[in-house]
Amino acid sequence: MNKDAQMRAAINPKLIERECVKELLRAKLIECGWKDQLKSHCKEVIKEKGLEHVTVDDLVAEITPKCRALPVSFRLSPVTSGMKRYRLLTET
Amino acid sequence: MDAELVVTPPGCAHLGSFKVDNWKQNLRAIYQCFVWSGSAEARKRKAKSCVCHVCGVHLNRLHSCLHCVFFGCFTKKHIHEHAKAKRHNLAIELMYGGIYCFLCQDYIYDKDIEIIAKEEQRKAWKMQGVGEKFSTWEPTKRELELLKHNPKRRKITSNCTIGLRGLINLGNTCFMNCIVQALTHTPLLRDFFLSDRHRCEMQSPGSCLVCEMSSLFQEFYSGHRSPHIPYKLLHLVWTHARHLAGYEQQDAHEFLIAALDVLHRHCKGEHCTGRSKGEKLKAHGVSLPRPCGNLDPPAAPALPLGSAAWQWAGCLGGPGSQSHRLLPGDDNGKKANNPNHCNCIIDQIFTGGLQSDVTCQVCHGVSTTIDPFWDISLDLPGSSTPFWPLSPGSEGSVVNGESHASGTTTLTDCLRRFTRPEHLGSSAKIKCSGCHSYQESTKQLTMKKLPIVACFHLKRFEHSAKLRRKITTYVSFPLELDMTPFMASSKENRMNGQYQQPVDSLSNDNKYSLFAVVNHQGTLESGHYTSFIRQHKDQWFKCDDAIITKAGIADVLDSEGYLLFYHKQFLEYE
Repeated sequence: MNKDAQMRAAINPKLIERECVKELLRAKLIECGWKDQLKSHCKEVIKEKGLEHVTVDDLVAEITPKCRALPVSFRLSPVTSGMKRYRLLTET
Repeated sequence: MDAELVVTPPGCAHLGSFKVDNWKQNLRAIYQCFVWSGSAEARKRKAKSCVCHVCGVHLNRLHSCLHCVFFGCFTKKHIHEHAKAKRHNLAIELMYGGIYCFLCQDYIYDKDIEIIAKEEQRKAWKMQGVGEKFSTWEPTKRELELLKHNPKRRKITSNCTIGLRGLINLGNTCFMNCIVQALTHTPLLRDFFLSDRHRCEMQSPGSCLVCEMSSLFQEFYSGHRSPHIPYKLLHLVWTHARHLAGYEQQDAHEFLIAALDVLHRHCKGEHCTGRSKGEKLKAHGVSLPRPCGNLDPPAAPALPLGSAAWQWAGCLGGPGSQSHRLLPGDDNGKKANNPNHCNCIIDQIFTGGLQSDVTCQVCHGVSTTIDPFWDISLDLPGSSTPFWPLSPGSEGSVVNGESHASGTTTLTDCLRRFTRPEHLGSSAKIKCSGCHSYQESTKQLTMKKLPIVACFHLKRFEHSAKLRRKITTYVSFPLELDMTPFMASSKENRMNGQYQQPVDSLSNDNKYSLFAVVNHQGTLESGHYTSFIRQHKDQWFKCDDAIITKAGIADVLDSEGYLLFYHKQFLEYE
């Protein structure tokens, strides 16, 4: 039991931190329009291929390269300030 | 996408054999256990059992077979092998709950299943304490019909002028025109009316101001470029806010409050009679506002300081405080009466909560009240009440990028002054129920709840007994405003010894963007109102009655400023 609790205490903060950063990253990607750009790209692909014929895997194949290629403009420091926020929360 | 391409999900033909017997219950169980695990045990079960039966990995787009207990990953095709071998053609994806049909080789969308999925997702979120989350708009049947029958579409490009329209001046009605421009460019209000959300509750629909606002929005967003003649609006205003009737110039701020009040009442179907603020004040021997004059009631709350109607709810021995509603007293009618916790669109957008803490100087007990407000009226330097210093011993902190010692008064200076602790003085002792005697006290105002749209009123019209003049002191106001320092919670933090938050605030909740400015040119006796409004995020336009011209951001920020409208940058679900 004690070992369990120890492991939990060691791992949990890292998991929570990861979630915090994920959430922040998600929000930033929406904010800077990245999600919207990908969405319109999806719509273009659907129009091209026709709604009846396109599959989810087609879309995944089409937009995966674009995900990384799209310019994303936000400062990295908000991500680190997300971690700062997490630390503030755990220290109080 | 065009309306014709919207497909109501019929699923696929292969679902027929699945949707038999108790399929709904079984499917719900699968969602609850393996997709959206709301409870702690469900999460534990998912963590332990949801691994690929072939390779033991839990990532790689894990799916569960819908016909038997089998988990397989998609990326490595383990679920595909199972489907082929056992002829189990349906699987559910465990991250997002999508249904995959191996015969169609694609995810399929069945209406019944979608409904179940959404319900289970909501249940799980509720259990986890997440509450409601954003989901995209989906048209109802009626809306789809409307879209089909009205195929004409309008594309909004970055340089289109839809939403811009001049307003004819019907005789000193520029005060009304400015407020109409500000309201028609309030994003949330615009969205409310353009999505046809108003259901008229008034007994005589022709007299409903909300209906008229709705037609006004239709006019503004119709694409017509000719100026609009708001004669019906003017007539309704005269009917419902009689103190504003007549062809004399009125105060734009008064009009804003009166308009919001009437709109708020009409949302509930209440008919307002002529029992207006003007008439109440006539009874007290105070004259009605003259051209561009202003009554200048106290900033907040509804009662003037030191009034006998101000009472303590009682102070506790220590730093405790309790909330209570302020007793109705000599209400100047400035703040909205909001007794029924109205949830109309006006209240949702414009109503904030102002916290007033009165601290007894002897026992340090605090009495707290929270009053609703639609706007914040700010005193300016140059009026008969002294502006500086803001409060004894206040630091010149740098907030919102403005420096204290620059010489120009800023909006944040005014807000700091508004939220300063104020000694009520020995001539205005309050009966403290903790001390059971009259004691000196300090009063401090802070924001308890911020409205979605914050309207700041710079008190430029001085209308005291001896003096009637316009204060033209330039007050600089920012494009982006952070209200965090003026919040009740920030004050509590400061009192608990926590140091001031760093300049780049971590929370986005209190950030606002300017979207409309109403300006007054001229003197108290004769003047003219114009406004600046924001379109397409970064374009500004000057509205001078019927004339709309493009403006630069510098024009806006350099203007004198009388009414400043700020919109929250981030909206949260409740």
